[in-house]
Amino acid sequence: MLGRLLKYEIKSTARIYLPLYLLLFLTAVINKFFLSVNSENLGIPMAISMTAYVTIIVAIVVITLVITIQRFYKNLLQDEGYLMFTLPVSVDANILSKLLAAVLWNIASTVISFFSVLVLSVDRDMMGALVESWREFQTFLAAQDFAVHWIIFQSIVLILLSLVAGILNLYVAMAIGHLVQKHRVAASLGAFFLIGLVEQIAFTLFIELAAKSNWFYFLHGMNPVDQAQWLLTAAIIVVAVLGAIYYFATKYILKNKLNLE
Amino acid sequence: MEPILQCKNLTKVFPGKVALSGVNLEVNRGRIVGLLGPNGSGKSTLIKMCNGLLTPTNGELLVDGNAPGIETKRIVSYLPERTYLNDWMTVRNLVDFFDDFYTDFDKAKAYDMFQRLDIKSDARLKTMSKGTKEKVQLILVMSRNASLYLLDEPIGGVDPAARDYILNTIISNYSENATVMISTHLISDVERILDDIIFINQGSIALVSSVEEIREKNNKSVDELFREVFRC
Repeated sequence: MLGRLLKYEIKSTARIYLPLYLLLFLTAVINKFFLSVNSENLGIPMAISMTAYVTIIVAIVVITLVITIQRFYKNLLQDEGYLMFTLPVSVDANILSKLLAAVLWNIASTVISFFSVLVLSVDRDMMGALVESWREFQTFLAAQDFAVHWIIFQSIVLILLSLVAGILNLYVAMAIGHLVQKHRVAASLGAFFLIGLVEQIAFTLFIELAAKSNWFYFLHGMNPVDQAQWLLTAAIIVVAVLGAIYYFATKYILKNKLNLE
Repeated sequence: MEPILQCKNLTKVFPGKVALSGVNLEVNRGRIVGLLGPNGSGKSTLIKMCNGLLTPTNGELLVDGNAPGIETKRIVSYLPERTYLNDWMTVRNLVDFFDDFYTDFDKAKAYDMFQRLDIKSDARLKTMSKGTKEKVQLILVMSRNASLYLLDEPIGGVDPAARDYILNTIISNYSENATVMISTHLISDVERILDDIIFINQGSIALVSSVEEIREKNNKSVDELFREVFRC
């Protein structure tokens, strides 16, 4: 059932994202055209198209966040929740379908914005330089030992996990916010900031305690590669634990405390 | 046979308001039941709890012997009192959606009803009037071969001619062992199709009876009895 839910989730979001990506691509091409002509007569249209391009990039960032929030809130916690929560599917499937689609679109928005910058700035010389540096990067990588590869892998895992945990943080805040009868949006915002605050305090206390008790003394005198590995592993564990807490809290609330208006 | 719906001391408290208090109820299979009560009497709360959209504060609710969950959702077809479908979807999208998730959904039956009501399958929900939207929802819900249909205010927003069509749709589309529970305060409209009635008032069950019994015992129509019981 997760597959079917995911299919519909992607369908309902693609109709917003895809036109936006297309628009970004078109403005990038138009800008590219103006830049390559580079005539003084085209100053004003050039400025306009550049502004449009930047606006769309900003819009993609904002809209990706808004849709990530709105799909969960509107589709599960408001009127559409009457449909989603009466389907014979598990709460897990409902949350996971939203989460997976959100992760997918967040990655897509980042990659596509990045590529549009590339399209805009690349000419023949630059293309050559890019290909060259990519090759150099590959030879650099090949020359490194396993430890460095492992660090790169860990970094990628950490970035993806942070994205997942970040989205789940939004979900759990909305789930908590929906527990009150009135002013659910305000309560969700409050829950979000409160979670952040608690984490900040816990983190600060932990660092102070660690500094006082010399817990991290063993890092001293380690070589930098080992240090980086150690810190990345710690960060991955912390983010994964936080993500798991958010997920199970969200699931618990939606399963046992659901109260649709 | 086990009743399709059982409530044992079912209570729901909202902050500052008791929506249902200690409801004990059994609804049998193969009946058309009217859940009748004035506005705010707890009709929707009860139906939403049957669907797991609200969790009870106290007590127990069983559908086909199970607490609301995946198993009960498979056999319950629910029409909420609001529009709950994605309004950018076309009728065809919606039919496919229902067909994908409910194994008891009968596609041919749905298209047949849409055609009879002259609702185009490529029309988007967004472009429809409120009454048409309600018809679309009802057709989707009644095209399932469910064991329990829970219809919350199915005729509230449509004209009297459409009301008749909808009621006929309901009685001609459920199988013998299925139960249909209709919540409404438009009693005279639904009276002719009901087998049983449940009067609910201020969160408590006021009366459970068969329609026949009311007519014989009180020599009154359900509508008359309702006006008497709920006199303001």
